[in-house]
Amino acid sequence: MSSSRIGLALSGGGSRAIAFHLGCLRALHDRGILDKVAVLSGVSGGSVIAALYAYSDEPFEAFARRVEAALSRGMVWGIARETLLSFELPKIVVATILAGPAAVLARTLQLTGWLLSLVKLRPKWLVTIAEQILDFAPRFASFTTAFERHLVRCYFGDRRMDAVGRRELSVVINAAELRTETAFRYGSVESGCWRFGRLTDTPHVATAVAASAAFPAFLPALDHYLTFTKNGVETKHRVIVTDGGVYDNLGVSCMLPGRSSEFSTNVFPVDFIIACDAGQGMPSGARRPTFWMSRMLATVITIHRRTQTLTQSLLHRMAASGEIQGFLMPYLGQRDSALPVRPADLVSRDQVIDYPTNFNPMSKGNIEKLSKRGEQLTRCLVDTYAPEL
Amino acid sequence: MPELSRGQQLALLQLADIADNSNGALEVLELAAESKSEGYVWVHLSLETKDYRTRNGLAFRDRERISLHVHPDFPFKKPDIYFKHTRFIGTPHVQWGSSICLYQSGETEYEPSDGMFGFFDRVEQWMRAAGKGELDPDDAPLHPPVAYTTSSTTFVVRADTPAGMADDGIWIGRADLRKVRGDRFDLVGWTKLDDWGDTDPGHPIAAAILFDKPLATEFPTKVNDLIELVENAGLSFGLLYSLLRLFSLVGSEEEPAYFVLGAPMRRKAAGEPLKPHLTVWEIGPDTLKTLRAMVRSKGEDEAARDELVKWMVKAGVRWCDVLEDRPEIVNRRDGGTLLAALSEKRVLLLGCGALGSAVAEMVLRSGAAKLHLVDYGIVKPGILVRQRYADSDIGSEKATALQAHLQAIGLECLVTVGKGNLANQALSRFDFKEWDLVIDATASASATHRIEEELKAQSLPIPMLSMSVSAAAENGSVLVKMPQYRGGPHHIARQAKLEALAKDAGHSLAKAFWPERETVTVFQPEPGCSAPTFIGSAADIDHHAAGLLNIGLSRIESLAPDAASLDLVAASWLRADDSKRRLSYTFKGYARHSEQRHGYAVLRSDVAALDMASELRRIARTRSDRVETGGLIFGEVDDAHQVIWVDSVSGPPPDSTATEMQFLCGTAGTKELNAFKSVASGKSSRFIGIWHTHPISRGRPSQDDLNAMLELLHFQEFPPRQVVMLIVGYAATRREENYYLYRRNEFVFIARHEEEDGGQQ
Repeated sequence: MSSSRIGLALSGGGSRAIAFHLGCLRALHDRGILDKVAVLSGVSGGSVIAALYAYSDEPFEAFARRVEAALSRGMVWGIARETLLSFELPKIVVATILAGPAAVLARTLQLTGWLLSLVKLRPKWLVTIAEQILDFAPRFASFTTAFERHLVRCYFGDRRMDAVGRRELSVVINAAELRTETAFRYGSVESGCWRFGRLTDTPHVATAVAASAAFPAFLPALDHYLTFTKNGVETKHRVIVTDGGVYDNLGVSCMLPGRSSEFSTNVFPVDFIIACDAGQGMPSGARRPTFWMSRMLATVITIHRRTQTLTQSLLHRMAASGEIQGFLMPYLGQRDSALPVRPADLVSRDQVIDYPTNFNPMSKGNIEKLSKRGEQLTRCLVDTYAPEL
Repeated sequence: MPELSRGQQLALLQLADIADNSNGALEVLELAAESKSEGYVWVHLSLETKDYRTRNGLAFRDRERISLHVHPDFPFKKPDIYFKHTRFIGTPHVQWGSSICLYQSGETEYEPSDGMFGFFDRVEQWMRAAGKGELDPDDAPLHPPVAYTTSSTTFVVRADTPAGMADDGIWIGRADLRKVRGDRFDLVGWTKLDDWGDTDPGHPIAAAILFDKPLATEFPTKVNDLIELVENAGLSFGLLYSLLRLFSLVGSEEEPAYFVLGAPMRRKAAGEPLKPHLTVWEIGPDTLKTLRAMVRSKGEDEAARDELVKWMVKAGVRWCDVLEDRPEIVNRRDGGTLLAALSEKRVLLLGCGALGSAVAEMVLRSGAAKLHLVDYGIVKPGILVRQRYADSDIGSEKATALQAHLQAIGLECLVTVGKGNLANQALSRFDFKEWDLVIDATASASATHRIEEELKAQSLPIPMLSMSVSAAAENGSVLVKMPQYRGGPHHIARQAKLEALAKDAGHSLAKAFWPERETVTVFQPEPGCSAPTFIGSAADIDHHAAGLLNIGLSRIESLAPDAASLDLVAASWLRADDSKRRLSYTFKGYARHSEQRHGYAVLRSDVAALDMASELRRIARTRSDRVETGGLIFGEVDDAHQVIWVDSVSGPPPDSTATEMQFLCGTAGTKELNAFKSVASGKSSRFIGIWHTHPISRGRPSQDDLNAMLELLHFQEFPPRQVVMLIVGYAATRREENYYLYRRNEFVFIARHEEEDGGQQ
């Protein structure tokens, strides 16, 4: 199996995911597998560490230290700094002032249209005007653009997606486009979504990571006009790009066999998939979604969990049918009792599972625990199920 | 009006339908009963052909009269179609001067449900092509000329016609024959007239004339027509007459003489150069007698001359049946198949039992050059239900009996026999330069062990294929060892077991070959102290023998020269519980080392090397590359073959002590790990010892190491009988593996001994 094409997918989950994935990467590095990875895909928090690894050529240890430093520092203060100590703040204010009332006005017009339609009247111009108002005022600046500036300043500079620092590695950073409800993939080879086509200009790594990690509950979507090429025709489209976890939180969709580049961007079929999942695992049942907010949140989480389960079973079926040679899924929320061999010094699920999925600064102890669990689970799975990789 | 069968009525109905819709292009003229063969009818038609006419093709008139010969069983028998005249005689696809040859294979091209409609589509195509002169385009294989057989003698042509004969005009010589039986000759060679020499060839011969240009598409039925034909082709009557006289003297007086006539009118495929089409003309003993009289009388015998002239003018030509087997024009029916790879190969077959006797015949038919059969058993009555022996073979040696059967098939393969028990000596008796492939069909554990032992001393430079079936002949297994793979069949089977249990533990095939518990009851056909075998029919066995042979050959075709494979196959008639009916495993061999105390061979997997490299990287990353590390070794110590298998190693248990000075292996979690490894491998891979590193010194056991062994072998609750110690010397740099096997009963002495020596790091 030494000639397998290996795909490595790093899931979303904020800093928790970054720390967990760091451990997974350590185990893969020790085993010599990391160097053999052909496709690296990241979602949200996973895209941060994926980009840190892929867009540098430093030795593994230097990379690991940089990740640990980033975790200790967190991203929140960086975003705050970019917002307050730069020209970003007035831009955000202007954008919000323009976009806020515009949105209110447009929604009012749409509502009026809807009310008129109840009495069989629906003037088309009303709808058109509402759309024009919305398009007039995109949120060109937000906390997410501040996040992007932070990433530029501290991590990626003006590096673009095609400037991968590792040999023969293809990179995919997964986001979701909310206008067309499709996957929006930034990649080292191409970027875009299937509805609009491929981006004409190569985007910045910082933009890709910011979009991929713009968790909709905390950060607004990246809202801007971009030029696409589809079937040889260039067109400008407004795109509203948000956290890739909305579409596929594992980040494996770009590496599943059987997809066609006619309908998708970043088609990278692989033989063997390693999907590191920083998800929480089985819910405790403590949730009581009684009112609107909590009910909506629980609904989103339930749909999300279902998608993830379906992806897992798809991987199982693909492995059983031979479409892929196999897959490994180091899983933060893994039930420890279900491990084939439980390492004697295993960092248990209970010790790490309650760490939240945000970008706040992380303590040394938590970094240690989360990454050690990632390392132990990955080593255990490789040893047991794919020692020949 | 003849009485018509139901099918003939249908034919007329369909013809009328076609005629009605043809705008007068087809006209049904007359219906007539067939006088010669009962039940047939003739339908005479007129077909408009002026539109088919071009400058290059058949000279059609405006309308042509054609006749259909309709079988009473129409539409299940296709009709025959003729021109009313013989103007087109000599044209390809017109036989007997008037019969129109519409189909290359009526069996597949004629469709009864289309009846006359489909048939007339074909007529239309034929006429159009004939009109354009495209009936025999250059890019299609030629329709061979026709010679209507009238002799009962058959010729099988084995030998290719002489090379380069077309370059220098007409080739004249003799065809060398082998008489197979009274009415059959094989044509096995060609000798040019100039090369005859004076000696009697010692076998029957025929005259042979190979022309350098095509003759007629239909060969004459009269001798005088034939003489005219060959004269037109460039052979003077004088020369022909000389040959006739010569060959009247060659054979015995009671036997006919034969003239082989060839003309370049055949080819294997489109675009290939033309090769001769061969016909054989039989000349009866009476004519020969007349010719001899002419020779002896120097042409003075008047009666004989009259007789001869009468023959030449009046007699018919007796054409023999010619069955082609010339490689230059016949495509082998197994061309391109997996088995065809054995053509011209030299094959060693071990075991002539159920699988072996079936495989032997397949190998023979593939065109193998040599086949050597090894078996020391005798034919017993019970085996006739599934092995290829006859009642008359009972009591004789299997190998000899099989040899006789194979020779009776009569193919050109040298079949030889070896006796002797393979459990005592298997492959070492052969010179492998003489052979291309070993097929082991013994399904015998003792033979497998013998081969394994022999391959330790001697490498096998040719591929080996080993097949067997499961206890109820439901599943088959075929194992392939490529020449550079280190290890024998036992080795491969062990690797396959580990891989199958790791990847497909739940699969019914893995369970069948490696059951968790030995549930198979031994089947003894003759109860008492007889050899156990399996239950299975001739159909079961032939199915597996054929399938396993093909799978094995496909593996040999695709495997790397240092690889081995094992395939497990479920019979296709079994109810499928699993989606996969075949499990395939491919592996590289283990790396070979030597154990330093007992001389055991150590076979270490790539995975174990990866395990160690991974741990070395981890310790270098977390501590330093100067810190010793180690862990447990999992594998098997095989005392029978004196082999230590190292399948995998673990990293240090968390309670280990690792410093730059020493490594003390902990025990936390090791019991669970060992239990897991043992179950996962069907008990084939378990804890066998400890490994550790000496980062900057050589891998000799230190006093601490020996104490650890002592501890392990004597001072714990269930001590193992023997323990392997692996020390990776110079682990920080060049890494050398040193293996030591310590046995409990010898250890105390050695510990003391080495203690007295002062021990060494």
